[in-house]
Amino acid sequence: MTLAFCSDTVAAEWLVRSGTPADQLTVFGPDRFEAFARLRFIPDPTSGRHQEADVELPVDHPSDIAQARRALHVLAQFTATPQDCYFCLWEGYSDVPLPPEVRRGPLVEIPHRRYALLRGSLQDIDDWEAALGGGQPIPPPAFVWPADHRWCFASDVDPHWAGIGAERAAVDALIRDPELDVVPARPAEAQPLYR
Amino acid sequence: MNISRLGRGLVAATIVTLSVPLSAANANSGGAGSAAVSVTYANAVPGLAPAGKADNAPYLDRQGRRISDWGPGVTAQSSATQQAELGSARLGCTPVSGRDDPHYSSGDVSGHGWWKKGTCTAATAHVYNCLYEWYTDNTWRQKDCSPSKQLRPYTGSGDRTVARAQCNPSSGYISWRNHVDVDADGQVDTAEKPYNQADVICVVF
Repeated sequence: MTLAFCSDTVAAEWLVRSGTPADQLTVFGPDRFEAFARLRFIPDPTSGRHQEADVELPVDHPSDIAQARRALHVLAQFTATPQDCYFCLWEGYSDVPLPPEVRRGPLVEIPHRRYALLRGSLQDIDDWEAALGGGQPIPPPAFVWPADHRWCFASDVDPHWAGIGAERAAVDALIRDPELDVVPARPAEAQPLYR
Repeated sequence: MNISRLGRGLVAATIVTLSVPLSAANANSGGAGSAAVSVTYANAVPGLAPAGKADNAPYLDRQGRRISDWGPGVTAQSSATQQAELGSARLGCTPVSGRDDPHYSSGDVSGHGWWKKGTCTAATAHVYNCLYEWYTDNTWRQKDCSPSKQLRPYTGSGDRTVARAQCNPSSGYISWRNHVDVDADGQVDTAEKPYNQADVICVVF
């Protein structure tokens, strides 16, 4: 299976109509999961005035999409439908323009955000940049979920982390992964953010 | 970006040609239902940018002064055409100037800037971005600019600048622009300052 834009957004209704507060939905997905975590692409800020670009990263620090990909590979063990997954692409990135026919909609709409919806296998995340970014690094999908809704991966444009909701065993597996910086989270609480 | 380069005269000329004198911007409001009302700098309010007028509207800094080199002369919409027109005259490389739509998050309107090498070979670039809000005297008014940061080409969250302003999300839609300026370190590069424009349910007065 290869990534393909969906001609309707029915598959995203469970997310759009989840009743989760908008600020929380955008960064963690629906609030229905047993456990939540943050995948930190870069370390949390250590002061209120810290900006993302102030963080000194090693030359080989992995890209956001590489970290997202690894996390999604871990999550593949926790769904019965890895061959049938959905991916949301935010409409606002200059280097990932939506095709005109996709931009005309329908798009997945939640408060303050609109996304194109794509369908594919979870393995297709390996081709995310090739399929949509000309092979250059681009941001991770804004949302990824399997058709059985066992988990939700959310990566909004603003935070320096991705939010993940899943069963506790899945979150524990992410936290244990030595190549990922994943910490438990409580979505209803204020989260670390750069200014 | 330092535009004291071969292309500067052409870019400046384009700005003059496309700019609307500030006095002309006082004629009509771009806001809904107020087309016949004279709008001045002092009584203008944020609103939705009407198609056409917004493209060539002047840019103002936070003191209300026109920004001469950050105006509408080189825009997202016009840059491709201008690149073609100026191509033979330019000696510099062309970085990819990454930016996103102005967007609302947790009480703020914000926009990011980043870069990719494009035809440049520099390992780093200095990048900054600025947010502009549309006002009904047909001006784009600066609300925040990021600091200029030395960045490696985009790989993710650590390779971005951000401009951000607290805003009130109980408004209707307001038009915003996020301009980005990329200056490849140690190389002459092209002078475009492209933008993304979006209507955001958030207002800054």
